[in-house]
Amino acid sequence: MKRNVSGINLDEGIPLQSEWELDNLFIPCHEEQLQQLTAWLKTGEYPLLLGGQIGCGKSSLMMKAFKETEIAPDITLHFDQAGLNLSTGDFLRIVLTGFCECALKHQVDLSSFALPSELADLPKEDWQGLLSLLSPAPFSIASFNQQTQISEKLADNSSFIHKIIAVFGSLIEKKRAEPLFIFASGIDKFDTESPAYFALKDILTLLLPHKTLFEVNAVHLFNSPKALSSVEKLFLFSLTDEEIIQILTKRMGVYASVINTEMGILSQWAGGNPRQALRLLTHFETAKKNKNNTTLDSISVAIRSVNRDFFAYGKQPEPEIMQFVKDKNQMVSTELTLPGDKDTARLALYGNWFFITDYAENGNWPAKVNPLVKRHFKSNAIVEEPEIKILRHYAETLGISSQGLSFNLISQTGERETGDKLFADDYLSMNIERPISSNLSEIFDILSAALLSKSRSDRVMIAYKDASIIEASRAYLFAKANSYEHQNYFHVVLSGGTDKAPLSILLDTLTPKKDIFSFQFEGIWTDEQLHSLDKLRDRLTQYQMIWWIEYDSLSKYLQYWVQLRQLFEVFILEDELLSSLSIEDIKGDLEFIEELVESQDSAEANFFNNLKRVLEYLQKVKGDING
Amino acid sequence: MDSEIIQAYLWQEIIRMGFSPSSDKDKKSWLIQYGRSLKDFWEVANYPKPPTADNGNFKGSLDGASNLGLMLEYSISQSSKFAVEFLYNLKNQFELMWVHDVDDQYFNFPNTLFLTEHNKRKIALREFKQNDIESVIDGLLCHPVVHQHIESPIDTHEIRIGSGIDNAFLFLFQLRYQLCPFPEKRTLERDRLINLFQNAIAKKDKIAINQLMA
Repeated sequence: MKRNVSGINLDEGIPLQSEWELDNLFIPCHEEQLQQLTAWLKTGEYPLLLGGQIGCGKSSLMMKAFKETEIAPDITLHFDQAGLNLSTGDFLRIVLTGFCECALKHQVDLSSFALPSELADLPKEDWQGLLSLLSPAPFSIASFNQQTQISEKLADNSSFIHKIIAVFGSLIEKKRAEPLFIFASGIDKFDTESPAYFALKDILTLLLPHKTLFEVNAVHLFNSPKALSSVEKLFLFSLTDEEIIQILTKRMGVYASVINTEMGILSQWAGGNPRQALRLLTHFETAKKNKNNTTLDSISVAIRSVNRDFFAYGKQPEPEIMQFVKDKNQMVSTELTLPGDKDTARLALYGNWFFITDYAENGNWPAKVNPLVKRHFKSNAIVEEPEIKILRHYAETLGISSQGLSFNLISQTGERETGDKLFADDYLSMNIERPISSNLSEIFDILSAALLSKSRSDRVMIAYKDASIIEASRAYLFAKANSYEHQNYFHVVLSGGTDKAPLSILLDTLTPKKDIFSFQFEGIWTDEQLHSLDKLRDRLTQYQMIWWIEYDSLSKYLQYWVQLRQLFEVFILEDELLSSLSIEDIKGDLEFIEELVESQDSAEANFFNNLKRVLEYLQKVKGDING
Repeated sequence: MDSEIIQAYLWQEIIRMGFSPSSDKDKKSWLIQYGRSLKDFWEVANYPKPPTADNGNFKGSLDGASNLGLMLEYSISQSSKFAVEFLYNLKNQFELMWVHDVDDQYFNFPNTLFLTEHNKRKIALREFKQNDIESVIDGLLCHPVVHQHIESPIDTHEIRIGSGIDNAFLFLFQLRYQLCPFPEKRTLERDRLINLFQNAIAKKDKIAINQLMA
């Protein structure tokens, strides 16, 4: 991603990776944990569980530690990127691939093993051939099928493969004369109640004899497999508001001083979670560009938008649990370790409904409810919440909420309400927001920061009710995406269902040669396909994508996508294009661009050709309406 | 030749070379590339909304300036007939500050006519020195002779809006420079423009729009 040296660097809260990003955008918030991690990297011999909630900064912290120590893993296992069926066989394949690659890299003598012939009917010594089947690039339907066959063989012979992996590990360590350092990433994407996590648990024990860094979600620290229970744990808690402000300030660069007050307010709504903070800031910055919005409106839009992106249609935890955290500011360990606790505490922890803020004392974990959802769970003292108090004070300073803040008012329903309550209703989200219908030009305005630029790779889900408008809508966005830069786009239908392989098609489609990927979700996606897609989150971060999903399906799908939705914005498209796109405006845009088209392989041609399709559609619809 | 006379010719020449797209096609291209350049030059998150054409008027906005609490919208019917609206975020919402309006229906001092009558263009463009170009670039863009200060919310950022500029494209381009809050970047940009115009005038080259907006 292209970065600005002294200006604004916004994204959706994706991990910092490049050297420049780690040097210039990293804020040493979890300093103690960073020190512990770097010490472990230098001198540790046993495994370590690094845990934190979604978006807390685990990946960035690890990248920083790797950079500072100049110690890189010998083997990196991406459990979230490669496992498509998320079965025992797939997980074994991932581990075997990592060990085989490392063994070959260090020229370990593997002549006494016959895996290439046993697993893939290759010559006994063709280890490179085996590797290309275990982890094919580029990905294709054929290679997916081969991979599946191998995974099945591995699962059928799992005891043997366990032994092979153990032996490979010993041989590599012997050859290098030093211990292996393994990085097991992506475990944090697995809900502890999911079948895939059960399959994964056994595999993780395979790595215990080595110096392994396990990247896990906070929830895994409470519900780790028995074998991992004695492993040293490092926990990243939510940050203080001051630390969040530092992060936002860094991201705004020289422009930070202009919105100091607003960043202070947004930090209150971030709940100490860096990604949530960045999402709030990004939405605020977008809303601010609408000259009709007051600053307070823009803050309100940001709060509602992030609430919607992260929580709309999500599986909600039991209100009693949330009320308990809200009242006591703590979570009891026993609540988090209850077996079969899929609807309550662990679900809430995994989905960021509340945040753990410090280590436990006497079994009580300091915690706070995520400010974005706090008002969804009933409370008698809404106005006393710090995030509302600061916003109310801000509004008062601007002379906005003077109306009856200390007087009782009668609401439209005839109930007596305080000015505070009305203020909160007007400006804040009182419930879990549902996506609101937006017309296409509104959606474009919000998306334009990312869609117009190759250097951003944001992702968006657009739900629709009327399939007949999708082609024209897509053409409109493709056209506008070419306003300033030549952007190639690629549209593919992904059909889900028991006899379909939509994920392999998706992965096969993704290539750096295209700038925008448009995927239309069709068919009835299975639970497994939806779960598997959720695990692919980090594999999708480098691509700009528009997902078109039928409205009724979206509400179901979002329940599966706790991870994915962290990196997507969600919109519902209004049924009618004519109301937002005028034929005259489209003609004007066409007239503007037509004489600039000099070749068909250009931004101008993409703009013109796609907009022409939109015009044809609009003229046809208008013709139909006029009879 | 008197350096002020030389600079007067350079003044006209620089406006002609960089800020006088003649055809509609050139104007559109200039505006698109101008908008494209703002994102990186100001180091903001967004491109501005793409420019549009409406009844022969080109319209666009400089919404990246919202990071300075400003919102600017322009409407150009000709190079010498245009308006740029300045909205300032005063306590919570954007309110109109002023409109820089240029109306060529009214008499303006005919600089070009006098210079043409004087008939020293060729000599001036042959004899100019680097400091002549520097003076002209400063007077046109970096420190416009007639200007208004707007207080920037960023401490080290000095803004001088050239209030005597009657060329639409020159006016937009000086906004690009003036609203850039990075002092080092402005210094580099000034040097770049001096070199760009000096070389082009000396070699009698044209300046492509993408060179101007680099």
